[in-house]
Amino acid sequence: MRDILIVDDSKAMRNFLRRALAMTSMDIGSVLEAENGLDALEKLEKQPVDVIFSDINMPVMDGAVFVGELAKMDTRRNIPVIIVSTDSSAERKAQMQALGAKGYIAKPFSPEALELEVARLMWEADDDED
Amino acid sequence: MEIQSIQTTGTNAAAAAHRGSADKHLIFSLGKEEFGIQVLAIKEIIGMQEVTPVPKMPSHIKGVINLRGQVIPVVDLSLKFMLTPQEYTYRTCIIVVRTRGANGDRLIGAIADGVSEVLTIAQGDIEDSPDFGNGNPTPYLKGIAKVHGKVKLLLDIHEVFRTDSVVGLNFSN
Amino acid sequence: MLQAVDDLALQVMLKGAAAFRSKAMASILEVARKTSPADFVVEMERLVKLAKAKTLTDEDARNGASALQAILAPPPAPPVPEPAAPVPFEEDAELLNDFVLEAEEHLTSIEERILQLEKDPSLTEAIHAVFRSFHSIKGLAGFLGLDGVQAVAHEVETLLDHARNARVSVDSAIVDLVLEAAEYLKDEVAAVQARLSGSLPPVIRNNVSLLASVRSVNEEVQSGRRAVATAAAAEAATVVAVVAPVAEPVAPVVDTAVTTADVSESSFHEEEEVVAFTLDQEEEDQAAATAIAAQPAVPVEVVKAAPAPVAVVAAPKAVPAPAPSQQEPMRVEVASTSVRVETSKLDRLMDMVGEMVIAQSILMNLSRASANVETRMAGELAQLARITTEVQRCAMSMRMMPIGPLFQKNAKMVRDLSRRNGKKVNLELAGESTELDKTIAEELADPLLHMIRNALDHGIEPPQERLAVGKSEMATLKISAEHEAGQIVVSISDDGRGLNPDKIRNKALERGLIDENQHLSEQEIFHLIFAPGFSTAEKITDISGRGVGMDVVRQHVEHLRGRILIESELGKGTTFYIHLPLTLAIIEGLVIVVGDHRYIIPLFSVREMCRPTEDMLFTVQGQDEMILMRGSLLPLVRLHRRFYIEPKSETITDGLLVVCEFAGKRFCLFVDDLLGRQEVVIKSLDEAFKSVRGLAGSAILGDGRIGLILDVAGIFSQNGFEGLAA
Repeated sequence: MRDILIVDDSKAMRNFLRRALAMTSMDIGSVLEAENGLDALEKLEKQPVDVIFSDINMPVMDGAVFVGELAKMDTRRNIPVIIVSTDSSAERKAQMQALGAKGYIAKPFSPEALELEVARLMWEADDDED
Repeated sequence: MEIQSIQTTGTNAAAAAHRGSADKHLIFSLGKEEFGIQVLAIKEIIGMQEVTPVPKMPSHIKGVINLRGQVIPVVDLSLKFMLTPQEYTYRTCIIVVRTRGANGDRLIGAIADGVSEVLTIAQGDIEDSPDFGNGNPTPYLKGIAKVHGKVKLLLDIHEVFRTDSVVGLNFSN
Repeated sequence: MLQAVDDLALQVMLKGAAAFRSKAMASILEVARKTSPADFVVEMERLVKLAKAKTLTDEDARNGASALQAILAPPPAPPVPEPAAPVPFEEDAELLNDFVLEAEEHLTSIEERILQLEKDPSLTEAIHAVFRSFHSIKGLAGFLGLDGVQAVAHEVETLLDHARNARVSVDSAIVDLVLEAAEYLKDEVAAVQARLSGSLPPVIRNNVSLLASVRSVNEEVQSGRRAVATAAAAEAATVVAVVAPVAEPVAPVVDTAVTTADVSESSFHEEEEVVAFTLDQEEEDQAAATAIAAQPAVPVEVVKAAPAPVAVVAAPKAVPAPAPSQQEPMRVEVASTSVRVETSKLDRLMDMVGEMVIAQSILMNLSRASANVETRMAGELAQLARITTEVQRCAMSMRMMPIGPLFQKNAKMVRDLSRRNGKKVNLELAGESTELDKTIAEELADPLLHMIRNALDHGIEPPQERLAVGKSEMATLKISAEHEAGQIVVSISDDGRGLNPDKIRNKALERGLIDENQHLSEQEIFHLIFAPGFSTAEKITDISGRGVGMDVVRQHVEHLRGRILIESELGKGTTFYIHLPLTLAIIEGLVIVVGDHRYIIPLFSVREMCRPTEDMLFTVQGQDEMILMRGSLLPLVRLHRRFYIEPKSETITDGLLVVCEFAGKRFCLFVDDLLGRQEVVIKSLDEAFKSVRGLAGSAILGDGRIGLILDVAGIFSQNGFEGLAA
């Protein structure tokens, strides 16, 4: 059972993600939504999740800042963030990874791509726990 | 059409029930005549109440009533069908029917002298309305049915309340 | 559960016993304790325990995992059910609908922001907002297979990326491009919507030339050639060019670029795959470089040059653009947390709230009428009254929306139209946050458009004419909205020619709209411009048409139970004030009585009331009755004669006169008596009554009975006075 937070300023995009998640065989718990990085940080303070999907380009607080800020939250810094972006360039990926993002999915994505990325991440995270 | 296709695919309780309720008719009287309308089209039956007249309308359109916050028109069917006008008594009631309007469903109240019963009249028992010989077909008469030797005139309620047949005579000038 | 165990088995294959030490075990165990057979739980616990103690061998782990699988799925194990074939995103009506709603919002915001930007290119947060909007549309379109949308949004996004990084300043040519792109996207979105609703989709224009235009600008920017042309283009406000003119020697390059773009566009369609647009920045640069390299006159090095600093010079106000990653929060937009509700539901709510208000007032009256009501009950009733009022206000506010978007819609038109007319206009908007009823806002769109067109066409002079009379070349058109005494007042104000009463009067005489000796107040003369067929335009343009606009304006506004006031000074300008009710659902009315009948006259059309005296009544030409009131003669209308009903009395001194006004005209309505003043919820009348002139609707009065609401204009012009009514 995995609780998920989706961070995207587009409601339609959040719905796409929800729909894609539902199409996977993942055991999804509750799915929270936030409209931007700041909103996400506030939501995370109240409730932890297992995975975060975040857009980069958002008003108020964008994805890059959000990943950085999350790393400063002692209790939440280990939650893996998967960046979901239309920008599939290697530089962008590297930049987000350097900031602390654990995964990267290019839009548009298929439910399978989503599941693969999550699976990869979860097992990696488990290894880190050891 | 719909019913046929259901029958060919086997028995279907819901369809049968639907067919059954389509056959149910409310019988009411206007003077000495007895009429029937499909129960499906009826929203409710209420007692006679104060009707607010609307100016410049033909006499059979009595006006409007307040049906729990909705303002709906009320038609005197005796006057509409040019039967002998009836006094309103304690038996007089308003049958509220749901019919199609230009902008979706509309509710109309029909004043009847009294309601008597609900009868199941199968489609097969309905005869075409007789040709009265004046070359003037009555579009709102769906047919006639004989029940226990008495004739009931079945109304097509949507035809009865088609706006163009209800519209007031324009008295201005 | 089975899925989780299969996952686990897979991990055991990969990682051996360590898999049982992973964090995921805890949650699997927890679920297993609730849902799985006891032997499964026992086996699982044993394995986890051994793993934790690091005494589990990889071999044991593998066996354990298969044992667990076996318990859950006894052989022959049914194959793991494949998830049902998913509905592709692009056929999912719900997602498509989400897309339509969101794209529409973005497109409105794009228009609004880009026009702000044109006025003040230094508004960096507006660039960011427009960028984000295109970005979001692009992202969504990717999922839905809307290739055209994706392609256009991508190119414009690139262009705006240059803009937000100050590589190019937003000039009118770029504004044109962005608006054109927005128009294209609008059509595409409308097509999706049409598909959803099963209606006929609009024709979508070809996006090839649009794409090529944006791309060539992008390439110019990347190669540093754009900057110089920018300053020149920004000056020429009246230029209607899709792409700003490019300096002579570079022109052939642009042609080459366009051709390249065409090719990639067509291949894009054939392959039905995002090929042309997944080119990353480098590749695009390379493409541009190749194109330029073909021109021996331009050295390739130019391409590599840093973005020209000229762009910044061209826009002196430009704040240094922030880094692409936007490390600083740009602008704290208050995230609107809203829910979409069908208007029909809101209407129903308003209806029911209206009923509640009435029921509550009946209760109040009852309690006042009976002498021995407990004080406690009276207190509770007063409390109920307060709550009811609050609920009513709340329900009404749900139908309210700010007028801003409506203004913005017109801003674009002002821009296009003034360019086309060769006029220079500065548009000022005020009171955009003023809220009004959604229905009113929607119905106001047309009249507002006509009035703005009218001001641009007839009110505002061409620049030369303005200079000749000592005005500044740049005219000002101000559209504003404000609340005033329970009403909304929308004003459209220009500093143009002003209305000429003599000219209007003469024209009206010519057209036979008034007669020679008719005395008219200035306001009445001004209102003649709303008469059907009246036009003061000496030159008929394709926009204002032949004077049809203004009478439509009056009809619309009156339909909304509003009225128009005109203020004008010759040579200085004209202001139209549109007074509108806050809501269409509730009106204040006078309840009057004629014979046995009660009617409601909307208060907004009532000017005054009086008990007439014998000497006020005059008869003109032996039939038309007039009332002399403070020096002016007003037509008299006896309501009972209009409605063919029996009055209490025909004698003028037995009744009451209500002075009504519509379209700047006044008349006296003769009724038996006044019952009072009441706020009522308007209920429309059944279609059976649509032929009755003089009725606007109905309402349920405080005692539960129905009162018919009068349409003052309909009563007046019903018969008799048509000749006088302009």
